[in-house]
Amino acid sequence: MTGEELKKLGILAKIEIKDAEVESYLKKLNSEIAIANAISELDTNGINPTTHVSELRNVWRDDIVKPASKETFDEMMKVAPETEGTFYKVEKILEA
Amino acid sequence: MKDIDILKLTAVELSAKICSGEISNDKVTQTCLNHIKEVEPKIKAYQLVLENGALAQPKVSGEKCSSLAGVPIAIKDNIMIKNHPVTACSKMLENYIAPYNATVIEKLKNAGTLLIGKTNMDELAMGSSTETSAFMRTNNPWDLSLIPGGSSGGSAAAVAAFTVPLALGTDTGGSIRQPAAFCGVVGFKPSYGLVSRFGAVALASSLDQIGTFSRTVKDTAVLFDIIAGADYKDPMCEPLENPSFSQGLDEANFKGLKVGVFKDVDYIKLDPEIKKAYKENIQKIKDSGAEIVELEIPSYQYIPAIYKIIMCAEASANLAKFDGIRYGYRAKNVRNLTEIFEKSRGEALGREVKERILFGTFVLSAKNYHNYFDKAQRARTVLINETKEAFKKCNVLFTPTTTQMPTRSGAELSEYCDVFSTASNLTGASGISVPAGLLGGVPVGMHFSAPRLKDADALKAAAAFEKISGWDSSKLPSALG
Amino acid sequence: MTITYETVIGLEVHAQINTKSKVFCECSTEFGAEPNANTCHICTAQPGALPILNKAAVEAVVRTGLALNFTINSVCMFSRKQYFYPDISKNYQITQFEPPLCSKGRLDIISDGKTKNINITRIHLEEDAGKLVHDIGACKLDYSLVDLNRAGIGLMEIVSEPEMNSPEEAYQYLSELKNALEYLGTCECSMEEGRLRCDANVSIRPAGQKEFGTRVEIKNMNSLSGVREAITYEVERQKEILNSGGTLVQETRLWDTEERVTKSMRSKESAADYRYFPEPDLAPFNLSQNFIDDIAKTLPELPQAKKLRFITDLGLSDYDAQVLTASKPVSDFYETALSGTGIQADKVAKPVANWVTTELLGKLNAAGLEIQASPVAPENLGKLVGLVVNGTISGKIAKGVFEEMFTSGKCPEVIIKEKGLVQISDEGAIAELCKQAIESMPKAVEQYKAGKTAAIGAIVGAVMKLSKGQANPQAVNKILADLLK
Repeated sequence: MTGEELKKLGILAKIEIKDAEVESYLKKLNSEIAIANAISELDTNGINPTTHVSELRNVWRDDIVKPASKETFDEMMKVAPETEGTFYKVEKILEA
Repeated sequence: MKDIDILKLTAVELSAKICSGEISNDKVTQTCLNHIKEVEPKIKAYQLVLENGALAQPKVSGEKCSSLAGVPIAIKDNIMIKNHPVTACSKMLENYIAPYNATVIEKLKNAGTLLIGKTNMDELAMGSSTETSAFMRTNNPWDLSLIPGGSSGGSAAAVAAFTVPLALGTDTGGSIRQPAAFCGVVGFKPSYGLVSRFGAVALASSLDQIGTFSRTVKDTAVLFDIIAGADYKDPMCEPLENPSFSQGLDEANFKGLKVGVFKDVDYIKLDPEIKKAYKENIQKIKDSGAEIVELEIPSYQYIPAIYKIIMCAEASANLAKFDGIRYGYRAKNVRNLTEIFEKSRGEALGREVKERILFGTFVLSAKNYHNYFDKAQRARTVLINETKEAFKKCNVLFTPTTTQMPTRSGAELSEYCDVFSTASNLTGASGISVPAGLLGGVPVGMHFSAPRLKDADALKAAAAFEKISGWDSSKLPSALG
Repeated sequence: MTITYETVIGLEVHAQINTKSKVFCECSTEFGAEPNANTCHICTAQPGALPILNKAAVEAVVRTGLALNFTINSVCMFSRKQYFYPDISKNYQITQFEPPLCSKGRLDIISDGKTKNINITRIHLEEDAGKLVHDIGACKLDYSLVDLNRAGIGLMEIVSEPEMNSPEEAYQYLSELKNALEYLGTCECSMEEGRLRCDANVSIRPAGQKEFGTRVEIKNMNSLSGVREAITYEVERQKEILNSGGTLVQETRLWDTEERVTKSMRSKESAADYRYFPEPDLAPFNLSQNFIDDIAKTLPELPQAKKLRFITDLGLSDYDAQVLTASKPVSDFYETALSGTGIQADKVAKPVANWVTTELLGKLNAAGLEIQASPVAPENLGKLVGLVVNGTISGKIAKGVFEEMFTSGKCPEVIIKEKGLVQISDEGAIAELCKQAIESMPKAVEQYKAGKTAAIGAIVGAVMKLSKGQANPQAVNKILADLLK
């Protein structure tokens, strides 16, 4: 992995990576990649991927409205960093 | 009854005494709180002690007494208790208050248990030492210079230090069983889907499971009976009604049981001391009437790779919700939305967490999906298939819990340390770590796993082992004098 | 030399599924609630929350797929599509990758008077995003506000093949699709409320060329006619660029509803890497044939089948059948009115059709009303037509009654009774009126008797006037003819 690739991952994952951190991140991530590369030697021809270990299928509920309680709603609004009325407030979307 | 004798009671014994009126639950609560105050400065197991709530607990007694009524329990700080902080030991959630109860918390409340505190953990359950907690380090009650293991290190230490007889943790790759082994307590991860995950801060959805800590297998099973079972709020929860895993444990023994053990193979890199203890315990099990079946599961050598890829990939998506918009830490002085995201996450998430998110993003990106994530999911199938084959030859699989002993804090554990416990997360099966003695004054744990959903078999084997292991579960850890 | 271009259009339609609760939580899908009033721990992505799938949303997708000739993929699952944006609280969207619930469907449209088959690639089930507010009234905010009421409402994404060759065909496809969804009841289809949204992929290529031209995606078209207009604009824009020697860029453009032009979004979309992976929190599907068959059994008659039935069983004209099945509310109105007559359907089908297509739709149109808001209830219109057909009132009186029904909403019997409008068919009474008319019009009588038979018209008119229009005209004609022999 190169520094450029790392920066791209940071943009995708929305994690700020400072220039001073690049080297140490690369060192760690490259060693993780080395561990992960071990599976390349395993023959998985004709083997399906396991997406779920559970045998459950078609798990669903009926179409019934059960709104969150007023208390839960208030609690959720209370922990929001910034609100306006009952909106969540964020900095403007477009780049400055 | 002396305080220390109350603290040494198992959960089952304690509840019986509370229900019969022999001890009041107020007395139990006060004794636990006092003991926490005494040992916390050394151990630092608790992120938060719910002292006021605990003391306000209504009196428990008489007819309505259930099997764990009045028993104090510690909860890992990534499980939601309504109206209380849940931080997952991350700066991101430092000021977050849970707006609802996890299903396990509802069940514990209905059973009349006493939620006494939230325990320390690795940040967002990412770690094996409880050192990545954003707030403090927890020390191993057997040797304060050693790590307690992790990520549920606070829960393990809380039980090991006799502050509570029971605790809940979460286990994604060994996060209950490894600290249980390091601290000398019983740690149990049920099969995936037997306990609702609703209300546990998600790490890796296909691996996460809530599980238990206690000092005896019986206590584990009784607690498991309470928290297990169907829950429509977790779609992956099995439709199991009225579980009764604690049945028949008292009579458990090894007679006629086929116990699978690992052959000496070079892909299992065991600490020599642990290897020696493993062999001795195999002999004990054999002497107790079990048939020992030597076997190999070659794909175990790929477990660190498979686990790392799948866990990080799922975590990278699960942790995307921590963006500083609806709750959690928001960076100051940001100029636009992108900066809210990047700086809030950059500043509030710890280094380990960020590395795992970046690695997860790497293995899922279009360029790498095929060679890493998809490959790991296929390798997971190979592991599942080989494990199923192995279980055709035996009822339970017996291994050490970890391949190495707890390190001093600051040192790094090997990638292979948790390979035996991680195997059951990847296959969706149960696993239980049981104390098997001390090595150089520090506990070592042995691990039983059973085929997926045959948790009763793992519990019975663990109960049988407990009887022959020679471990005294009422012995206070040495560091507490 | 000018080059002839061929236009290639594919449409991507997002239809909000008509369920009471959201697709992955139990919040209401009601439109117009206070900001974030319809949110809970799941759709705001609180820690520890897990999605819980709404069965009705799955049924709606399967129902839509079956109606549009899709293959149902009984084995499939959800995936996570990852990107950061404040309107999707988890910062990933639960959607489907490969395979979707429905593959390979089709829909017929009429193009240049001929039926054309448009293939539809897929329908998958996913969750809607919330809304961002950037201005309050005319006031532009220097921040944004997040409302998650819409976040987590079930969506069907319906992706067509690039098989439409004109803005008109795209319009036809979207109208037919909208109509079908309304008949199925799987989407409310209001484009204004954003319950049905459409993006278009538009490209042009020299006629005869096999390779596709550079594709431009147009977003933000919030009405049916807007889709036609935007695509028309975009095709012309692309032609102009190519004709003047320019090259097109693959991009996303927004339809500006004020300026009526498409504008480039200038986004950095090329960097997108959605990192799809199977959703581990939701169980995969393995739908049984029974499940699918049970849904198939409840499929309603779709517009195209209904139109055919109106023509063959009820004897309606092509035109009337087309008008009456062009939307579900209209055909519902017609069919209710028809049974409201109390007369065998094939005997009244045509007059009811006439009343609906000419009188009612004309008046509604003039009043700017949708048929759902018609002041005349379908049952009442049926009764009115029934009264005409059985001779209780004349057609002319019926028109007056209809006017009154439209203003007051009363039922026709009440109006007729109040105003004493019942038709006079009693021969004795009519003969009496006829005699009076003959006496008062000697000139016309003379002319008639002299062989100018048309003169009888004036005398009939006089009778009708004397009866205040209530005399049965056929009876008047017959009696006058007898009396004047």
